[in-house]
Order: sequence, then C-alpha cells, then structure tokens
Amino acid sequence: MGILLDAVAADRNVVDRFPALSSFLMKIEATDLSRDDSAVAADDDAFEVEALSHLDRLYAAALRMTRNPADAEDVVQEAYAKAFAAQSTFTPGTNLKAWLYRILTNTYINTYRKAQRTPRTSSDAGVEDWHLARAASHDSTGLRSAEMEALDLTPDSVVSDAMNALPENFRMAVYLSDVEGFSYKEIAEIMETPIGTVMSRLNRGRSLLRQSLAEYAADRGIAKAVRGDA
Amino acid sequence: MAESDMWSHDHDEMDDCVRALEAVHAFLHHEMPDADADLIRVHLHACERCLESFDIENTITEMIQRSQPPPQAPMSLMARVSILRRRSGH
Repeated sequence: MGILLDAVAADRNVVDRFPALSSFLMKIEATDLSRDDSAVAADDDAFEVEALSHLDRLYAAALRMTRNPADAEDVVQEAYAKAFAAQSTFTPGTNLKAWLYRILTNTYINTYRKAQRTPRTSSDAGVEDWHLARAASHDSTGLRSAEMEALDLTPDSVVSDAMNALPENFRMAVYLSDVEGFSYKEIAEIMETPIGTVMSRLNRGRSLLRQSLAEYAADRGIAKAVRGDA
Repeated sequence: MAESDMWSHDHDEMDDCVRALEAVHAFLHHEMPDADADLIRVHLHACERCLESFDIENTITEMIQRSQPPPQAPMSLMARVSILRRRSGH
C-alpha cells in the first residue's frame, strides 16, 4: 500500500487537480504489509483492469446524473481518480461495480452538484407511498392493459425523456434498479440511504414515470383508439 | 371520482389492492420475503385489475431498459482515465 500512497503523495499534480482526493487518502488504512511488492503490483493491475471494464457503465450512469456529456466525463474522471487512490479501502471479493458507483455518486453530489449549485429538486418528504398505491388502485385515467399495445409503441426517446424529467433521487433509484440491476441493498449503499428510502424513491419515480407515459399515450390519442370502448 | 369507478372489480377488499400496489416494485424486483410474495400472488389470482397493473409495470421496466442502451464512453475519456492511473499508481 505504501507504494501507492507515496506515489500519490509525490505526485502533487494529482492532489492539486483533485482536492477531494486528500480526504480519501486520509481514510486509507494500513493493510496486509506481509505481501511483497510484486503481489501488490499484480493486484493493482487486476484492480485496474476490472475497474476500467466498468467505464462504459459508469459513463452511462454519469450521463443520467448530469444529463450532459462533458460534465459526465469530468465526473467519471474524478471518480476514477478517487477510486484508484482509495483502492486499499476496497475489500477484494466484494462488489467492485457497486463500490465504483458509490464513489461516482459521491463525486457527483459532493463536487459537481455543489459547484453547479443545482437546486435539489427531489424531496423525500410529502406524499406517502400508500397514497400513491391508493391513487393507483383508484386510477381511472392511468394505463390499462388495453393500452399495453400503445405503450409498447412508445418511442424510446419518449421513455428516455420521461426518465430525464424525474427528480434526481428518483431517477437514480430507478436507473440503478431497473437498468443496472442492483439490489435494493446495493442501491442503499450506493446512495447512502436506508433501504426504505430506496424503495420509496423507486415507487415514486416509477409512479411519475407511469403517469407521464400515460399522458403521452393520451396526448397521442393512441390509448383511445386502442381501447375502442372508451 | 364516482364510487362505482373505485370498485370496478369484483372483490371488495380495496385494502388488499393498496397493499399489493404498494409492493409492486419490490415484488417485481424479487426483493420480498417469500411469505409476503406469496400473499401478493394470492391477491393477483383474485384481482385481475391488480394483475393488469403489475403487468403494465413489468412492461414499463422493459421499456426503460430498452430506452437506456449503455453509451460507449468516448475515447477521450478512456485516455483521461488511463493517464490518471499511470500518474497515481504506477
């Protein structure tokens, strides 16, 4: 571990360019000192290869967060800087992908969003989940199975726009679950929230999504035409 | 909303519907204990409207997945990250 620490500390450029790095360096703990340097180097290589194998997915996730390719690149680059510097805090054999996503999410929230002073649009307060469920059970304007056909005809761009229109916390919960396939427990770790909050964000995000897709179908008159009996 | 609209399916336990719909995503994501999931299945057998609703949510999940193909990270980003690694680690 000493090798990496020394190398990072020696390279002032890296620390200067990524101030947040220093806080990660503080967290680095002394690990297995009995391993020789070649074993450490081999581990480093394996770590690098696996970490880089997630680059496309992390970039995709960063795009979901920033909704802007240039910003997404910056967030991913900084996240990798942190990940490489904090490598010793990763427990081999655990989920590297989830670990990288957590760093990415932290980077986005702590660095990018703070710098942009983007208002937090998504509040976890307000409507309770059971209100949503009750509304859905009573819903006479929402999607019905007769509209499934119309639903399937909805262009990907409309679904994608609807996703992008979701409040950030809801969008990320839906994205991490439905696209990336993370478990609720993993999402809770990535977003650093209780599992109950993850479930709540998912429910709300999906409820909003269903609502806007229903509105799209209604606007296009597709639903009416398909239903026929309206 | 008219009372008749609210009770458009046969059985009269609306609370069961609320409980089922509250858990729709946990159920579809296989995040429920087996016993709880079984209760949902029992309800879905009895309630066509909830079954439809679950089916729609499942379809929306597929639509979301289809609409979010993983973009390839730009070569420039790959280069930036690779350089970063050489500087910090090797």
